[in-house]
Amino acid sequence: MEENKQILTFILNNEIYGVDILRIQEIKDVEKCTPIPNAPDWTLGVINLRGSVVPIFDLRRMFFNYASEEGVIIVLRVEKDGKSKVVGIVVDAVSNTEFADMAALQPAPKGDITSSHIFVDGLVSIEGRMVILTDIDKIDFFRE
Amino acid sequence: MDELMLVFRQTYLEESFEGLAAMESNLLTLPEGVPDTEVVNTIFRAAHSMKGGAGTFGFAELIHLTHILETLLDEMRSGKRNVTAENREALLESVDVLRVILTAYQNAESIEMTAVKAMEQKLEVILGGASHQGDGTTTSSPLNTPAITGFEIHLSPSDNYFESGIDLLKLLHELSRTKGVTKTQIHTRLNDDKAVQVDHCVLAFDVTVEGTVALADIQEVFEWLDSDNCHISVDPIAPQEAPKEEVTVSQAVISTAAPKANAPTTTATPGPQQESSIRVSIGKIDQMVDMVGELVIAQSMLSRFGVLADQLNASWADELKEGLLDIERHTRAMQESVMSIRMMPISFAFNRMPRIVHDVSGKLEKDIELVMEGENTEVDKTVLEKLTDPLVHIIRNSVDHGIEKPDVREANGKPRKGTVRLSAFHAGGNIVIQIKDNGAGIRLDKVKQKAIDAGILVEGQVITEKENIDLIFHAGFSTADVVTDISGRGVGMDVVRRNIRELGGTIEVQTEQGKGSVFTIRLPLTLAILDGQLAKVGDETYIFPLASIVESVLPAADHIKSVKGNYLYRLRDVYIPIVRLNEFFNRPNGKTELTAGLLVVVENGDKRFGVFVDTLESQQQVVIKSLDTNYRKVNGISGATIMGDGRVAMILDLTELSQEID
Repeated sequence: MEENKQILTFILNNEIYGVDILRIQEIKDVEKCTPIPNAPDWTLGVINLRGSVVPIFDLRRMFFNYASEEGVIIVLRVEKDGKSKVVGIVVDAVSNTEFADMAALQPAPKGDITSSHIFVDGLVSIEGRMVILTDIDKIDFFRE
Repeated sequence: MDELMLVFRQTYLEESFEGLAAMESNLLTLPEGVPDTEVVNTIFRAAHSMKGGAGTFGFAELIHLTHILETLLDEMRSGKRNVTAENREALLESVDVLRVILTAYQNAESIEMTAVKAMEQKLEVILGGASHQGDGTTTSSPLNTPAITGFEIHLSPSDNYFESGIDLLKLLHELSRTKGVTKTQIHTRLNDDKAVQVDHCVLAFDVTVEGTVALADIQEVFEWLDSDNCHISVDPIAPQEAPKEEVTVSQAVISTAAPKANAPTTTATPGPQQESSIRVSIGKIDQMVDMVGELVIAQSMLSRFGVLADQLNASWADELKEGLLDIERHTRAMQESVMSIRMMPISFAFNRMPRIVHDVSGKLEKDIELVMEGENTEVDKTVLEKLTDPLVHIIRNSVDHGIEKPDVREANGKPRKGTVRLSAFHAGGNIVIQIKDNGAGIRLDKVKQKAIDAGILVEGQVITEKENIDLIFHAGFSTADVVTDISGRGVGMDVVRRNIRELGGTIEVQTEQGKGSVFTIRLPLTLAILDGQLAKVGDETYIFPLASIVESVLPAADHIKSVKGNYLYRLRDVYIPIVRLNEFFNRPNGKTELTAGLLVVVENGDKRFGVFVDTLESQQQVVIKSLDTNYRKVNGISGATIMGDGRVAMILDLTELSQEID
């Protein structure tokens, strides 16, 4: 495993999360989505991203049971059944790009520290703050 | 091997595969007995160019086999050998062997030489039966070879001949100077009994040419004449000694009238003037399709400003609208031509079928004729690729389960020979493909019993005839009493239906006991563009495929009937079910009172139903974007599109909506 991995950190439920920066395509403001029929409430709908139809998922509704008008969309690439898909996730705010020392990665504590534990890869400390590293492919965005 | 050579090699392989397909289809139509020179020639040419290329690329295994093949074909076309069932079968087998060799070359695998050697021996045994030719590599086509003592040429210019601007006298003069011509005689006569008109050519010419002349040279002189401007026939003057001359004569007639079909099932042989073409990778075309799609979106975005300018009463409004109209016209034309690049004749899928019917019916000792119609119907390349497997499956089923053995047929008062008819045609914005057989039909009682045995149905369950037929599409279903290697493994019709649904199409079956079955496949013309009707439900926009809309009505209160919570609407004298989009999609949007909105009456397959919306908006062409690409399939939605204002709108899947009402 590489020593230093560059990550994008973002805020969700007052906690700091991190995701591999190589997955990120762009960051954009929340815009009005076209709803997808019969989709779960955390699926906000689809937007037009320069000619591609991209679904938008609100992680706050999905894992933390709160909704907010504020927020940003992180457009990123996820792997699903061997296929690459482009999706947008809505988070409270994007904070920074950092280097995470992967050698110092601690496994996530057993038990439910947050309801988001299913996609937590491990914990890493950056400049004294705890960052929760995420494995975005573990989130089942596409379930009915 | 350098890069250029690799490119050539790839082209050679592609062409060779095409050549094999041509050989195969021509072999299948080759009647037994005296060979049809035209057909044998086509096969010969395919084998010959394969051999030529094999030498260039050092494909040694190929050279020897194609060489023997050529020798055999050469004997056939020169009339030394008749076509028999045995040697036709051997030729077909060698096509298979060649395909294996070429595939091995393509994948850089090693070649199983024993099979190749066995094939070579088999052909050599056949060859040994008749006079053995030393080297059969004659490259010249027979058109050039027969040295005949002369020709009789008949020229009758058509009414508009003078418009072609060709000086006939000059051509006749040139004819007399053609290589080998010793004497020409020209007789002028009145062109039929036409009334004399000053701008029509009233004269016709009969020319006798003597000397040792090649037909090709004569044809070259009259190269510029075609059926539009002049009817021409060239007949050799039969030399006294040659009895087989009949063949040559029929071939020498270059009458440009409709090409004579070799057999009712063959596709028309390509004319002498092939359109020139280039090979382009499908990726490049898809890129163009995408870009044109974006252009259409941009254009519809701009077109809104025309309306805006009108509202502003701007002085430049007319000019702007004119410009916008121009852009719209050109984008549409461009879109059509780009889409047409992707269109291919369905014959690419159909061409495999004669071989399959031939092989399977041979194995089952059945006598079956395959009739194909509408092979030139064009479909999108993607559709074509995904269509071949389902078609093969249905055809195999028809041959295996549908058509009975000759004795059984005779006992039932039917002709011994069964017929499978495969046809393609356009109907109402769709491409329809039908597979029709005059076999035994589907035994519905047997289907039902099997379904009960397999646990799909409960004993005593009452089902309609249509539901009964539809059981064959159930996964894991097969009625074949014996599982053969041809069909009957039960992986089949469900996959067929799934493939066709993936293409946005439908499949229906009609069957009549003892008379046969018809499988009807309906497919959209293209997967990329749709003529859409926009409709509003609350603040959401949905798109109907325009071709499916029959009419739209303002519902009248006294025509609405409620049956067990389901609403029906009396449209003239027929009750049609109503689907409410907001309920179906679980959206808290839009009008609830039926009389306040609109009922869009749509037709899907054989179902007619009403879809309740608030209002209808404009009609426009939309570019279909798959939701699967970044999301997943959504029930009731066939895709999404990007509207003129940049927002995304959902396209309705009427097939899935119609299943809701069942």
